[in-house]
Amino acid sequence: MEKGLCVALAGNPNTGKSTVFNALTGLKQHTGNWSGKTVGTARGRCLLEGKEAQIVDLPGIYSLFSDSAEERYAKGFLLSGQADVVLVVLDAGSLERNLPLALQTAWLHPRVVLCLNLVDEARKQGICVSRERLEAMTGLPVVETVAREGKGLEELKASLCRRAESLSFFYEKTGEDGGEPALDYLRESLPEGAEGRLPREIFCRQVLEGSAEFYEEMMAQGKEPAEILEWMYLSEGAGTLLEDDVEVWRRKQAAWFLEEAERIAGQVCRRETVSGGDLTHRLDRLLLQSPLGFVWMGLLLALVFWITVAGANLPSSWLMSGFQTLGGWLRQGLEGLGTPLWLEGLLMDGMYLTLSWVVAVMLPPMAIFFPLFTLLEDLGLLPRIAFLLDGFFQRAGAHGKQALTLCMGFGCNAAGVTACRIIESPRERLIAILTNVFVPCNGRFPTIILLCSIFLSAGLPFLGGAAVCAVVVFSVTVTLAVSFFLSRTLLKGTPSAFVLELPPYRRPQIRQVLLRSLLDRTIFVLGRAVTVALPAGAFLWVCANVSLGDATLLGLLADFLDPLGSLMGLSGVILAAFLLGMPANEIVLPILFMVYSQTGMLTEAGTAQAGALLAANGWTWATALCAVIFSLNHFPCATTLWTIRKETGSSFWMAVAFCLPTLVGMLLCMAVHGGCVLFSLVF
Amino acid sequence: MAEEITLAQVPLGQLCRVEDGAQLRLMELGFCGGSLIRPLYGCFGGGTRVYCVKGTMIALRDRDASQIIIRVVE
Repeated sequence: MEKGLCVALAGNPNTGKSTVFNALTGLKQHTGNWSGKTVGTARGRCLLEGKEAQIVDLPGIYSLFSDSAEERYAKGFLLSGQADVVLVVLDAGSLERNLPLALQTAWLHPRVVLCLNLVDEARKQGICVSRERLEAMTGLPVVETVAREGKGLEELKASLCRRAESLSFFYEKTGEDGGEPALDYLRESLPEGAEGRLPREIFCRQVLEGSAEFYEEMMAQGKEPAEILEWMYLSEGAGTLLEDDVEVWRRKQAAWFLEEAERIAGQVCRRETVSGGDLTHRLDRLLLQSPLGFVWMGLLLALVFWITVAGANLPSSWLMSGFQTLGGWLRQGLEGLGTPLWLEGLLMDGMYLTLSWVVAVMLPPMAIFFPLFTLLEDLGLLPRIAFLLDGFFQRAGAHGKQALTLCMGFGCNAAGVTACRIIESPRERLIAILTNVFVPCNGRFPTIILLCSIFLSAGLPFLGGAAVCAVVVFSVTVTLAVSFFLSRTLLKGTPSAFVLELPPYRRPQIRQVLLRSLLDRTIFVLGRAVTVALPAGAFLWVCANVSLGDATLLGLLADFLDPLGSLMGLSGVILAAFLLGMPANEIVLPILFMVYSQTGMLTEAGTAQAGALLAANGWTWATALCAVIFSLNHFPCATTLWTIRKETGSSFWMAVAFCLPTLVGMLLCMAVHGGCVLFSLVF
Repeated sequence: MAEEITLAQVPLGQLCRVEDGAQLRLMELGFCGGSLIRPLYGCFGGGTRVYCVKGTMIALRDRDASQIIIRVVE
């Protein structure tokens, strides 16, 4: 198969670049409506004139002159020459802001095509962009698209192919930026041919700038270290010929592109007044005037939680019955094969039961929460939520985007940890990762809700709901407190600049979003069920049914943990249940019921039965309170720990992630327990 | 002589023009010399505000906004 083109996709965040990517590749990668969503590159394949082309989606960036990791990565990629053609996606409604990057790209790369996207939205805002004038003024081919609806894509593909075969064209930078003496020096001193694929002019400028990604790219292209050292030496010499220093020179270059963009946009865009005002601005006036904004946000999130919890009940019981029926057949089969009793117990009561529990409890809420959350993303509500909460997070020394990873954590801590990639600064990302566990995920919510409704509601359902709200507020408070502590001690440092673009409200692609999210979550839960629940189930069954002397292993563990448990207002059995529930938080209560009813396998119990069973084993409201507190503040589940290890690349931080919340939980429980004891002594 | 005030000090709803943009990153988002900016909303508890710059809404913390020197436009 003939080698096809490599097309790089560049552009500002929120231009619909990822939608263009999806449309070209048909990959249906999820795209969120806020900047920072694409971290790293996505790659896909597309048929361009019969040949298979590779499309590389670069992260959304604002300019090639800034210092963030994403911008440096994109610049390195462009300089490498890997891309045959670069497609820059522009938002027709924000042309002036999007053009600098496009011009800079065409400055560095010989074959650029401009994609003028979101033309329909621009028209709604009363903005009309002349495609022909833009083409004439930039010298670059321009294609109009509405990627969300698939309009203009064929033309785009044709344009890419044409560009790949046409002559190279660089956008020339003119004007004074104080670099001429230095550049003259380099033009003469740098050896002939050193520039390789790059035009000599660009090469000289890159050497003068002396950026790390440029040298890395040159190394990757096989240049000798000795050669590069020579360039660095010459660069230093040239630097002394600059009017100011390299930083100021860079800023002047960047400023030139901004002025150019302003000049071009001024000639190419026409703004017509639109009656009725912009929908986004009207909605924002309504929603962002604090403190009202705070209220609607709280209500919205409460609604999401309520839908998740209420909606998951029925599907969970269906799944459970389904598993039970299937389980019955499997047992019959095993008995038919003459399987020894212990093996049947291990396989069915241990592994199969745990697997069915994990899937039945986790799949429905996840399948509801995540699509809902994704819809909020697509609408453009998430950056606004992050903005409204930033006051708190700032004071806690945390990054504003942590508000969003925190919300994700309510669905699943592992997903929340992965989402922390949107926080650029490693220090603040770590704070967000380590504190994600303090919010209860979908696996812990059922436990908390059950305990609240049995012990902390005094029979009034409304109080039970209030208790759950209190739990949510409490967990967010603990998150902020621990973040504050970390940012002053272990993870001290300067806060990074928090700059968040609030995109216009956009109609979400509902069907695509729901399908993709549903699929992702189902695969995740099933994968976790197999890799985590099965072995955990086996281990659990062994602990509960294998005896050493006259106590089961589980019993021995419980006895061992009893002193610590009592100090915390719990008991050894409860602590053992939590510990053994580390693979999956949703099995903690079933383990408890298993021990209390001595069935040797995970046991289900309706609210009334559960209440009776717990009370019969010495539970009081104080015990329930401490149990809820510990459920909120203990080590992360195995999946989350593994994700933390993967995201941080460090076992040390994984260990911290294990110990920190556990310690907090133990201290809080001891304090509350002490308080309860005092309370009962006094009254 | 007009006193130098920073973006963070501009009251909500007041239009102003940037004199000196300081950081490169902010410049590229539109907070560069000559741009018109209007602070629109503040967050709960303060410390961060949303600004309308070149038709886009951008949330910026006060500590970063205080590095942008502006002139109020009547």
